[in-house]
Amino acid sequence: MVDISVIIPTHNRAAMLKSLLGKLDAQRDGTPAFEILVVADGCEDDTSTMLASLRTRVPLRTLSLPGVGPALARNAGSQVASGRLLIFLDDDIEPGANFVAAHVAEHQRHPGGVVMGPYPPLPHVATDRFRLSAREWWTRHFERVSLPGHRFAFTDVLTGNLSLDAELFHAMGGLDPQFARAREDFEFGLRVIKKGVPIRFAPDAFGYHLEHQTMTLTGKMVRRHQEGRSDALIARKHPDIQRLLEIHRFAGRKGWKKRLRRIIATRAGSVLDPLVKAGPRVLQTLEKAGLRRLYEKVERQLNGYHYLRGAAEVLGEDWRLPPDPTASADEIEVLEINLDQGLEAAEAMLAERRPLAARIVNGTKLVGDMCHQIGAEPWDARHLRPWLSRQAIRGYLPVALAEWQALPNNVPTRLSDLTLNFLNNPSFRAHTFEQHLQWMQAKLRSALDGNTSKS
Amino acid sequence: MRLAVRDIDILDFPPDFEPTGDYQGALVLIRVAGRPCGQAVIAFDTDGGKTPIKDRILSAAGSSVFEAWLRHWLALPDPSPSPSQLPKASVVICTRDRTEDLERCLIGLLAMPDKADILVVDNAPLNDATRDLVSRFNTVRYLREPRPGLDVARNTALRNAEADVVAFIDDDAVPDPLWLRTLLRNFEDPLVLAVTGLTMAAELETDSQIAFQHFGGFCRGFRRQVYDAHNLDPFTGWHAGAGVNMALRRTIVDAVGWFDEALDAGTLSLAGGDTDMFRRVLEAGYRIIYDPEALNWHRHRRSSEELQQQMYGYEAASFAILTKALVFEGNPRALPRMVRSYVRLLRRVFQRRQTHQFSLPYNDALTQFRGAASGPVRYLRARARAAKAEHKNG
Repeated sequence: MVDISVIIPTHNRAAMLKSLLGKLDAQRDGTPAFEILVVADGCEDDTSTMLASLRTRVPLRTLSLPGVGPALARNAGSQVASGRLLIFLDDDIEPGANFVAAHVAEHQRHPGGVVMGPYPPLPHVATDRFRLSAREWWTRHFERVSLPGHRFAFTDVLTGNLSLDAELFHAMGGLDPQFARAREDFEFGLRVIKKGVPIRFAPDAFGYHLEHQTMTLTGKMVRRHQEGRSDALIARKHPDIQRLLEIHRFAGRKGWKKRLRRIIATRAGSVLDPLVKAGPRVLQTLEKAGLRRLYEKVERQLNGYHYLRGAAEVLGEDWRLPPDPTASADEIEVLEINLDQGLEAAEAMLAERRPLAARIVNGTKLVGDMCHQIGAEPWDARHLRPWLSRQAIRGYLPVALAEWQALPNNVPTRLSDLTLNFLNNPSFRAHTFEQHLQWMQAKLRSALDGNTSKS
Repeated sequence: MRLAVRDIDILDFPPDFEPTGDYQGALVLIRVAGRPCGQAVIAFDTDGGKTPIKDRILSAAGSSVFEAWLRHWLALPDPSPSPSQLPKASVVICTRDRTEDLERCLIGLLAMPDKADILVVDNAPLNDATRDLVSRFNTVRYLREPRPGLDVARNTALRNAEADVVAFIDDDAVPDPLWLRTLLRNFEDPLVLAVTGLTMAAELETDSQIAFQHFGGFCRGFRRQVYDAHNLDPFTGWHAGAGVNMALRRTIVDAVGWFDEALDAGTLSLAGGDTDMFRRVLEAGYRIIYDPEALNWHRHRRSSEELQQQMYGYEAASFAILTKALVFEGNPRALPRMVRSYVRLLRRVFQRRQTHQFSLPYNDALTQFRGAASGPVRYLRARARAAKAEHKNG
């Protein structure tokens, strides 16, 4: 009996799947025994013949479904999987040699959580806008999530490379089949976080995402449609997070622009659809002509249109989202932490109380507020230092500098507003501006004298 | 006006910082625990020495200093990469009749803890002085390239280097000890074809040097950046860095081609070979990393004629590159850029001249506009000349 199941939902990607299975079969020595469960969902290519002819050392099972979408495919896989640990892996990921072992090791270190592994895009040369921005999104997502002290939110949860105990998965009721084709991961992440299950990131559970082979401009538009649809459904199922969804921007009665957009999205489909179908080709033409700004504008409009069409499928013409229950709910308890006890004491307090919101003060002065965010994990000790160095740097820097220079707390350190404003701004413009101001502020004497002596 | 250039560690402040000689102020490179992380510009003797010098430096320091200091204070891990293995590298110096500077550069290179293959490309020299100098350093290779042009010399270097990465440093620059190692640590990502570093002024003895540094110099900020065509317009590739401090993967030649021999010093186009290369790297979908911890020190041009020539050359080169993109690559984006830049420069010519803290003995706006106006023709002629030279050689 094996303990670990790797579940791979797939749809018409035989060649990619074959190479993926090859990588799983060649996991590093010492990897605990595992099985592979391929859920062939509506495959019309030669996936089944490929699977039948494949010889692997790792036990390989196949489940065939008629095309029900990845969420249901994962659920169905989890039903027949024999492992106590489930690893969900997308069919366009090329796992590294340490992939399975790293997932298992993380669960052994901290049992009972949800573990995510990175799958940044396979390094590929990208020249068109669409490819570049997709590559950027994936790269940045995993960079952000892997930062030490990152505070996980439901929008960080992706099911492409995720593992958890089968028992937990079943107790959660699996993925919600309503969101069959998009956002099933966010919705699952939301329930995970609400339940208080910790989310962990295992950098070694690494795979390369072959995103450049599976994502196209047209595919993105279809996906936007599905996302609009799913967001509308999430807003109904979890009204408390509707403000965090894109759809919230379009809802509500006020604003003629909003209303016009909704009317176009719900009623003008038969007129616009043929036009919109030409969208990807129009975008490519704009790019060739070097019209970058127009390209971006048109792309935004197209994306918005598809999103709204998807949402309109669920909401119809009414567009009233259910009322937000948290709007009238009681105030959240805010934990107050004073830094004059030292950082370690503050960390210990956060670890013990795990508050949803905290107010960090130094003596009587406010350093910053660790805000409550719906759908994000509670604050913990590991969040404190990264938070102080980025989000709360303006409030904390004077405190830290005073302590470093052994000044009493009530003496402000000489930090110009200017310096404070440029903190954590990495742009080139900000740099040139700040440097110029540094020279101006130095007030070198010859300038004051109007001295024009030359070398 | 003269400014001192100082290099300090804020955690280990030197007691002998006070000014010597007739310096009016200082440009201070600030490190935190050895890592370069920001700068301050201060004037000496502003308040009769009431405020301790350390406080004055702190209050003039840039924001990046405080970010780095706070990370250190909070014991947060450093975000810069630490690969298990560095690629093999050759260091290349392209030089032309500047033995005094070259000697300083070579001594600096040999003082680095990392031993690299060092190659001097002597570009169309007037005499044998460079060869004689290099022969005194027995680990340094010497190569003569008779055809003038910095990009010709760079191509020769790329052809003759054996290592995977070729690091370029100017003959009038001196590397900081960890310069090479820091450049090389950024090459783990296979999409990175070029890495650039921070170049500080080695001296600020004349108004021209101060003016150049104030205009921005070779400083591109104190935060590490990963650039690709998504976050940096290829035409502004110079934001990523300059040829004075860059390392290229040797496969860059297969990916985007050789340096354009009709560009840069020694040709009619006067500059821009590095900018053009960065533009092509970005356009081809690869990445460039700017790592400010890879530090070297550059001696800027001392005389105002040289600075004027440099400003003229930069504009000429920037329009040479636009011409190249428009005429020879058929890039439609070059045309609106060109028009916009001309309008901007022309407007500056007719604006009231800004009063700077330093004074230039010539009209900088006019100099720039003249350079820009001559750029296209210069490039066309340089290109014809380069084609002829290649024809003769091949």
